[in-house]
Amino acid sequence: MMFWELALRNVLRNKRRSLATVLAIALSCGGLMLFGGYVVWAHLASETHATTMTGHLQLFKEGYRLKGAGNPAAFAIENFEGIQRQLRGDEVIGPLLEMVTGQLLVQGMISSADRQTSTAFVGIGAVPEDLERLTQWNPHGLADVRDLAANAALFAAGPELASGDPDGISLGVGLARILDIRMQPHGAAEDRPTVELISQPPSGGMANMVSASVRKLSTRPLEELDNRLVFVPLPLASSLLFPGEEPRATSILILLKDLRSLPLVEARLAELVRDGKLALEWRNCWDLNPNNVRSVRMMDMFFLFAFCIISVVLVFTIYNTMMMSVMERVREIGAVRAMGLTRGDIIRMFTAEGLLLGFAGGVLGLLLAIGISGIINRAEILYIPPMVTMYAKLQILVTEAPAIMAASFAGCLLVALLGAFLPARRASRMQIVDALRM
Amino acid sequence: MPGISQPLVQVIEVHKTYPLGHRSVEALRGVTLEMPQGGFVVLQGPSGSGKTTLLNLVGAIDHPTSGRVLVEGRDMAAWPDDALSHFRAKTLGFIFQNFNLIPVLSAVENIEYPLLLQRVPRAEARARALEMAEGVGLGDSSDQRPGELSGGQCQRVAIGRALVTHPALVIADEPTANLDAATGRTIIDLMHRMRDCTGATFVISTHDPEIASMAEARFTLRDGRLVEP
Repeated sequence: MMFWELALRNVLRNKRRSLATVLAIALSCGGLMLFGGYVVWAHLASETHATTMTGHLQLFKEGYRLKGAGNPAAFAIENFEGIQRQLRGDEVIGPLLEMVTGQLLVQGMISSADRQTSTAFVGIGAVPEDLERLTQWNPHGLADVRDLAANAALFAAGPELASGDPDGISLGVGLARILDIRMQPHGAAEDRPTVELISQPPSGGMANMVSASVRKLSTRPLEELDNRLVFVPLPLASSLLFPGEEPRATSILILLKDLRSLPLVEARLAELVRDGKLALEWRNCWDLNPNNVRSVRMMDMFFLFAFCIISVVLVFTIYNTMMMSVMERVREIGAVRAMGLTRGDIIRMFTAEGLLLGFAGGVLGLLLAIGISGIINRAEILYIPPMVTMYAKLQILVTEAPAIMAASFAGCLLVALLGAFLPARRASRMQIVDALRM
Repeated sequence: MPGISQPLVQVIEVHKTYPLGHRSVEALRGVTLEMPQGGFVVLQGPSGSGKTTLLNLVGAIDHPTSGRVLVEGRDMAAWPDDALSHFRAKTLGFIFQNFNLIPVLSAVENIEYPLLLQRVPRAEARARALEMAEGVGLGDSSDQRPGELSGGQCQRVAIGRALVTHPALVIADEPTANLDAATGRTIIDLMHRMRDCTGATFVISTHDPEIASMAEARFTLRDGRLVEP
């Protein structure tokens, strides 16, 4: 009779009670794994969303982050294409790059001569292909929002910008409403509404103006952005601020092949700045998207809270089961102690039984979590996450997060150990003669 | 077989007092006796006379309030708990009135259990347990669990379990109390036979005069004192 075999037989002695305990552990463990799988998805979705908004890193002229909003053109990087080449050719950074591109922040007035309306705008001048590549960034293979039928209307009008459409811009739906602009469904390019973008050049003097046609209306995540944000092709935006000059950018945006190389790239950037080879400062995606960081940290706290509550409940459940087992076997404990089992042997005997309950519950919970997550992932449950304007598909990443599975499983074993230890200790401390008299 | 003149157990001026609520009960009051090695010793007396208390002290599962108990010349009063456990596992065998078998183990597994506690290799332990099961007359019942056995068969298992480690001393507290008279006699006969085979000393408590008459040494307790039979 081996140690674990005896423990198993003792666990099976009261099948109904053991089954109830195993089910309680399995449901708790499975629930925790499902929640963990959701938190993992939230992490990855948040990281992906933040990256599609800002890239992994953005380089600016010194002071831009603090004062640039007042006059972004004054902080424009003249030789941004040269810096892009420098980064691509850098022996450390170059191999880690997925993409490097320039963006130009521009602000001024937007008006519709046809509708006789105007308002202030904030524009992002971007390279159309790079902007599209950025929005399609999905390194973790999450469900693509473009594939969802609920988002079809959003993507039907094509990308925000297109390289073959040099004066085509996209507006927020709110901004279009303010300007009283209406898009013809499936309208030809010549039917698109035209607008004028007016901005003060950094050098002062007369304001510049460019004409553009509205190729797309998109809902922005915040009302403020919806009422003001415009995507403009970078050459058009640059010609508004710097007519007749080489294109400039207010930020150089870096997309890495793998986010894990971010510290390495930041260290190299610091080295380049220290050596005087780069006169820019930078911010990473977490600095640029603090709300995303706060959101996922809040999810982490929820998970930790749920983990603690469930652990406490499970400890008491297992404690109760094991204590009943001890109380039913008092005379048997006395007998085996008389036969030579030490107090330590008794503790090991009962904790082994608790561990078996925890193990069985953990395995069952794991299977439950895998099965239920599979059903949920196939069910196409959609919702609009915070700070996003399109539907996302809810995903529970259980098998994709082995660390969460392992932690939940180990947690089951640990709480089983804790729950069984006190009854086991009590059993070990019984006086043999008292136990035999029961 | 060792000579029966050498005392295996020496009980010297032993007192044992139990607390009972706000007062105390004196279960043994200055008992002194010697039990010969290899003997078949009976402790007799009415209920509450101190038989079980004395067996507990000899079996190293309880400590005297005063006095000394020596088994194989060793006084275990100051031994730590683990040392007492090891001593019991190696030197003693217990047979209980209620059998106290492990219900989830079969008869042969119950007999095997003390051997596995002593880290005897599994195959050897199983062979010795089967041999013992045969010796105590379990026959085809070896694979049955205690719940499927009669009282007499359970006590045979208990005897096998007590003897399988070749202990020097077997302590049996009222081993026939839960059996009918015929089965009880059979069990006592079996104990005699096993004593002859193994050379172990048997100390049995009983208030059955017929069993007491079969003893080679007999001690009578009354109100915690040793009296003349």
